[in-house]
Amino acid sequence: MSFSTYPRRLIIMPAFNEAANLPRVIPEVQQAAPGYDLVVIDDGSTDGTARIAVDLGAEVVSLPVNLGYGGAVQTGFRYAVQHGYDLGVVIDADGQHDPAGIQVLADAVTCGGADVAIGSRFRGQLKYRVPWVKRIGMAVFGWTASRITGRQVTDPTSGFQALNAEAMRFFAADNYPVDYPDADTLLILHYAGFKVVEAPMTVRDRLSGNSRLHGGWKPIYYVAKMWLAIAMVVLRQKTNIHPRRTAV
Amino acid sequence: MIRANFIIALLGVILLVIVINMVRTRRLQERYALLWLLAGIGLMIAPLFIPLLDEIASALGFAYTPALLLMLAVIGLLLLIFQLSLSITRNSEQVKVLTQELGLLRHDLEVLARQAKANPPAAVEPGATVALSEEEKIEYDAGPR
Repeated sequence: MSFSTYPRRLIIMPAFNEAANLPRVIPEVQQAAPGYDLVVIDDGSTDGTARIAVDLGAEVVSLPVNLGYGGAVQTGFRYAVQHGYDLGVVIDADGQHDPAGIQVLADAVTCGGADVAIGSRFRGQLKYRVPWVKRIGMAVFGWTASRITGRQVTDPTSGFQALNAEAMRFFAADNYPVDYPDADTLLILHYAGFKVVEAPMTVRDRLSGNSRLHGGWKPIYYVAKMWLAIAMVVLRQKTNIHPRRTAV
Repeated sequence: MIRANFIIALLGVILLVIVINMVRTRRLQERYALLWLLAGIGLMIAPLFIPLLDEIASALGFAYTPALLLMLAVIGLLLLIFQLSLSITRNSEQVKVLTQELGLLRHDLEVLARQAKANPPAAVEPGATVALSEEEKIEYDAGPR
């Protein structure tokens, strides 16, 4: 493992009420990725997530109110930009992402020449059941993203990603959704000229708590919102409303 | 008919008074008050146009005159709600940036506090002379801003 070209590396872990999972997840991540700094973005948790993360030796940025997943991850990008990190790896705090993937993703950026590497649960091992609504959504939007970018996208919703400094600056400035990054975010990256690759990863069942996108009207809202978001990204590109590339 | 006209105009006046008072006491910003003021004025002068309404409705192809009124009312409400949606979008973007900045600044502050605790600055005796750095000298010579 060479840190010569990307000496300063950061793991960004957004966490909302993950106090039950952190005592297992943080040591596992620290062990799997020596030499990386770790910042936990506490997204307005009410269960002492921040205190536990501090006790486990992580840097903690606590948001005073809950912004949502994308807002927390973007805070991590801003942190990385402010502190001059060369590489950032985003990983979930619920233990679903196998930390062994950190090295795989980082290598895809540092050695593979990618700007962004995304862990795909459909290229690696799947150790948990994906709800059917989510599965269909991922297939449809992955297919759409593949068609537009001309590169195979199997897992557009994956939150396990490695980004170089330029990609983090791009997302720190703007261009990142406050709720969940998805196929539309991949398209924004593609149109802005970033090289995005997928790498295999293992996804496990979460340790404790509930995941998103379950029940009620949420799946319908999700599908409608995604179509709108994708259409808007394409429309902006066609009408030359280009995203900003410099940090605020 | 006369009584209906009176009630409509009265509603308009009440709306105007409420809106103006809200702006006066700073509970409502001017930019959000404009459309409400327009609505109040519209209600107030509406009775003047009631004789015209039948003609306008038939000219526009409305078989039933009150339908035109309802449509105008709905359009007005949609405009108001749309303006609110626009400002919510702007507000949530601002809240997001402020929340992120607040979190990051608080973290910086904690780091500084930790550092200060680890190496506390040397105490300065009262009356002692303190050497200024070049930057501080320049700032000092420039006088109070």
